[in-house]
Amino acid sequence: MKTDPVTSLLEAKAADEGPVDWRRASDRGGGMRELEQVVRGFRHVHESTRTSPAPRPHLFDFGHLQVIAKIGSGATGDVYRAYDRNLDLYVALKLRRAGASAATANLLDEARCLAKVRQANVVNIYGAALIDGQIGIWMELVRGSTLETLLVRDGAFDADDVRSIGVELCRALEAVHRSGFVHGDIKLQNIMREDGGRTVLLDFGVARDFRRGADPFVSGTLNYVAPEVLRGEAATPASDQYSLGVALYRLLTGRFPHDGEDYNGLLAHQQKYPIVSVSKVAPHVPRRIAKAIDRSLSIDPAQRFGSIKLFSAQLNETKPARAWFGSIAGAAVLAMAIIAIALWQRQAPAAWETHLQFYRINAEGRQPVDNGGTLVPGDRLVLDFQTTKPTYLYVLDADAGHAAELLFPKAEMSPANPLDAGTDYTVPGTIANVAYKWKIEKGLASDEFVVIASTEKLTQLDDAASAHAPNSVTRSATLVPENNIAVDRSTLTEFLRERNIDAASANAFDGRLRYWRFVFPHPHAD
Amino acid sequence: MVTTRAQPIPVPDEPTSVLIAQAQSGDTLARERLASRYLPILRRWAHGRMPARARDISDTDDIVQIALMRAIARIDDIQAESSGAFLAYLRSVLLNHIRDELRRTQRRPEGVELDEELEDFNNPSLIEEMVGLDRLRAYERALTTLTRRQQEVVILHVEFGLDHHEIAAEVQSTPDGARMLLARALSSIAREMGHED
Repeated sequence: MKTDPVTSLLEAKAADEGPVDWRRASDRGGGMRELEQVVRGFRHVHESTRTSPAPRPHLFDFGHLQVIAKIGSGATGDVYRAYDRNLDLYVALKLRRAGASAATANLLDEARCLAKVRQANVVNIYGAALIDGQIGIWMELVRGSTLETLLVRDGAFDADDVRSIGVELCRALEAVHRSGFVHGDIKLQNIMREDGGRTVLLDFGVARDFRRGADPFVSGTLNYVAPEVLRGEAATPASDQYSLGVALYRLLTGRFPHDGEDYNGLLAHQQKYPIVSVSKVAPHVPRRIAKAIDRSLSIDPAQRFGSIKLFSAQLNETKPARAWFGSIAGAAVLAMAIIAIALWQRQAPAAWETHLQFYRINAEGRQPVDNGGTLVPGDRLVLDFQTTKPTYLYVLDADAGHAAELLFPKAEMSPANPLDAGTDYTVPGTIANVAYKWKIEKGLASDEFVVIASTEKLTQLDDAASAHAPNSVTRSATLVPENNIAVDRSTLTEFLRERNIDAASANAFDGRLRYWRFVFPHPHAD
Repeated sequence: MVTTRAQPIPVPDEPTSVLIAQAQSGDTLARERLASRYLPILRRWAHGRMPARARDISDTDDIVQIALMRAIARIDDIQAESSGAFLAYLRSVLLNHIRDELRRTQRRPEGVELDEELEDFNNPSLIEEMVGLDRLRAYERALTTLTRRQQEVVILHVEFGLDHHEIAAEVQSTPDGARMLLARALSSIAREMGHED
């Protein structure tokens, strides 16, 4: 049997034959990085319980921290290298005298944001405290260099390196945005490459809850700030995407897409001159990566990717560019298509993009399953869904008696409709942070699912759901079909047709409704 | 009650499954051997799981001893095919015991609070501080999706720090078999954690 390359890497780890190349492994998904953090944590705790920490020379104490040396100083406070006696490790401590100043609030916002965002490419926070009139937050001390330092020292990065960095930063930003925050100051000085190769996003000093609305002050760093933020609009996930685009552009080309001596000059430059495409400044960069970065730098936020996840997907597309060029005729057709798409992108209003994928979960892990893919009784099933506009999502299936059942949305579960744009959802969702899955039961020859997405509420489905809503949902690891809501005794197709919803009539909704049907056969069904 | 002796109990190389069988047939010495075999490992593991306010060595020892004593008292109900399975079972008992203990002794933490949103920082366990509560929960949720044998080897490797030779002895496998099993289990749990992003 052919061994999965990630498994091979982990085999090396399991055999203690050398360190795992987590960077290679993590290309297969953020889970490797997440697991790495867990493994590191447990390992450190094991080691710290075997030895008792020795006293160290230090400047002063801050709670249980021994503050050793100042390593930085800035507008948001001083940063020290400190030793955490509880954790038996060195940490970075940000200190500021407590008061009513905006800077104090910033430090608290930073702590709140980092407390909510735990992701392998975001710096880990360990604690926060107010002691003797000083507010301190302490976090992981990342050993490595900032990308700015590396760029100045070594010159422009190669495309594959930038792709990896971009994907890791997209994962970090996905986690930040999912928690309701924008970073607000993405720049190469705030991104570290750790000695082990991990890319780490730092300095959440101007991070804001973007759901609160506009901030009266423009924050961020000149040349990285999105045009709409310069014009006084609130920072959003789209403005973080712009700043990330600037950072990646700069890594590839060594220059900024727009230059300005001050905010007004930068704004004028952004309005007056289109960016010079990455592919023109750095022709060696694969077209797909160049186009992705160009799009993230669109002046109009609506023309950027609908979510950071879509940006990541475009960057991470591994299809080699040469595969596109089968013949001269093919290249000509392709060129026309690219021009057409470019024109459409320039002229069309922000498109509604949706992405959905079912996943089968069993002892082999989590694998995507497409229409026609087989399911085995005992398998669990979830649906990942992303959208670029607020969307009402409905998932239905047919039970053993072919009656229609509404699987999503369900009372008491999170998420609920409408689903937000730019957020990654996995349904059926959670109750009290416990993730649920659909369980495939015995006795059926196949499972039939219909997924409907609509930019407007479909009252004909909501009414059916609420009329049969259960009083409570059993708290268990899975939702088995018999616990679901039987919305009608008619067949799934009849049920939807009675409500004027089916694949053919989806067109009648003028593009506001999308309809997918999936049939998953069960092999060896009784 | 399980007591700490001045002289360590000599621990022969009987497989844990034999010790469990002997303990189940009423052999008191086998129960004590089981306790002395697992107490140091569980104590080290529990140290990382205890919150700051209860991280005192004597608190940790008390909790571990009580949990271990309870687990061994119920040994007649245990069907452990290997020492790995027994250790995973002890971990589960101890984890529940720590959580019960925390709920029972819930009180306002000492020190100054910044605000409620930061309150979680006041009493995390070492491992929660290092890893982060959400990530630890994601790991624990992902763990439940693995087969029982995969769960055992992941727990032995990640949480108890055993290498594949030690795991092989615990799960009664060959080192190569343990290495492959562990690699596949780690790959599965990483994939599951990745999909929680």
